[in-house]
Amino acid sequence: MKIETIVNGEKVSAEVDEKLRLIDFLRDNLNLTGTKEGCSEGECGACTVIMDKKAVTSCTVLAGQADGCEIITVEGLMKNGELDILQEKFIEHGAVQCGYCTPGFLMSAKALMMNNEDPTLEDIKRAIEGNICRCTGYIKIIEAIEDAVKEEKNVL
Amino acid sequence: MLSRRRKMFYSPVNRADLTELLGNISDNTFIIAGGTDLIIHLKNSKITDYSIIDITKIKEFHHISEDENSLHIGSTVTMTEICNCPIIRENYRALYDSAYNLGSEQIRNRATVGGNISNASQSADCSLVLFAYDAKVKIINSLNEEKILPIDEFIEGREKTVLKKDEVVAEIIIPKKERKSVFKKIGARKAVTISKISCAVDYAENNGKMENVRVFLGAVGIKPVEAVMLEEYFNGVSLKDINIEEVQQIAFKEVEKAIPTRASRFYKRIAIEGLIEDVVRDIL
Repeated sequence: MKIETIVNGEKVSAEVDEKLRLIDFLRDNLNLTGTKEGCSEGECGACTVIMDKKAVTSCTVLAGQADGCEIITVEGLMKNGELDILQEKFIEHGAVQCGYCTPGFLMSAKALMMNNEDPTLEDIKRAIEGNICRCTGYIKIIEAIEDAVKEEKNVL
Repeated sequence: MLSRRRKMFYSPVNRADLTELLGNISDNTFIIAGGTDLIIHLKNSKITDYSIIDITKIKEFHHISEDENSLHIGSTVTMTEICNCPIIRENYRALYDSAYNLGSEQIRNRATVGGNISNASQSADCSLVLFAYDAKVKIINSLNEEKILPIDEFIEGREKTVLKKDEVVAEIIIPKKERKSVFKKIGARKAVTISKISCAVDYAENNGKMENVRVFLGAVGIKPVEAVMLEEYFNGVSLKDINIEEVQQIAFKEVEKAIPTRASRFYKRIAIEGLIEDVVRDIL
């Protein structure tokens, strides 16, 4: 079947297997392998992408359901060779160890910042409660997001 | 030789398109909305030859509206949308709380109220609240006929509903009344957790007294269980007279009555004491 989407700002038209999941469409059809598969059940958040401005687990969305939607993946965070503020802060704060969960966390945090200009610490924790990390213990991830939020507020 | 692939993914945009598709449905066709439950079922079922009807683009199913007598919530309304609705946050607090605490942000952005009741898990959170609210379920079928059932009849238990293969939930209807409502759950962790035990209370508060009380418990039966002894206690009680210890004792008995033979009762009959204390604090 044919689907039409906008992925990371670019129009994408593709012929796909009808049973394809969004995560497979992104990784296999579009070679956007930044989005990772963890649990395949929507519980770990590793596959989080932003669909129509909302964070979703791409392993529970069928590619056909993304027809007519706008998707942002971790590859879409960098603009004109410049890292997104979240990516900078993750690096600065040491919020990345093995890195496998990182794209998912970045997208959850990005979705938060897109929808909430002034998130509190509780808002941040709530936004990432669907993302699991086995390495960092979460503290540096939260600090990185807090810092990104603070800096974004200063810029505006 | 021309190979004609059977179409396997449908995305109707209105009720008419949907009912036409339902007319041609097979046993291996599944309805998808948020997909957060279905995708897991399909993965575990090992069925590979299936078709999908995506109902999320059907306008008639995607609304929250009020008339004189009821609140109407379309079946494809998501948990996030429920939480963003001021009417629900103000007047249907238990429903708001059940949606607010369901899953994670990613799941709330996809999971629908129709999906929650159609999946009919014993631990379903929205479902539990709808029982306490005496909600009704509107179903449509392949002949575009409508049927309205009380949710207690809709959900049979053990993840089964009365839905036939060519039927889909269109709307949930909650009767309006003077109400306050409370929902609490206990799970293995703080978020993204299936309820191990949950409680929904719907009541009216008049002159400091509780009236028209409905109390339902989740995850202690094949479907939400009406806690009749707790209802008896609360009905007509003055808020200032509520004795938490007495309530806890009754709650303990409710769990024993509901699951007398399950191993989980040893945990749940104690856990409910903490849960019901949270509920009472909210009521007060």
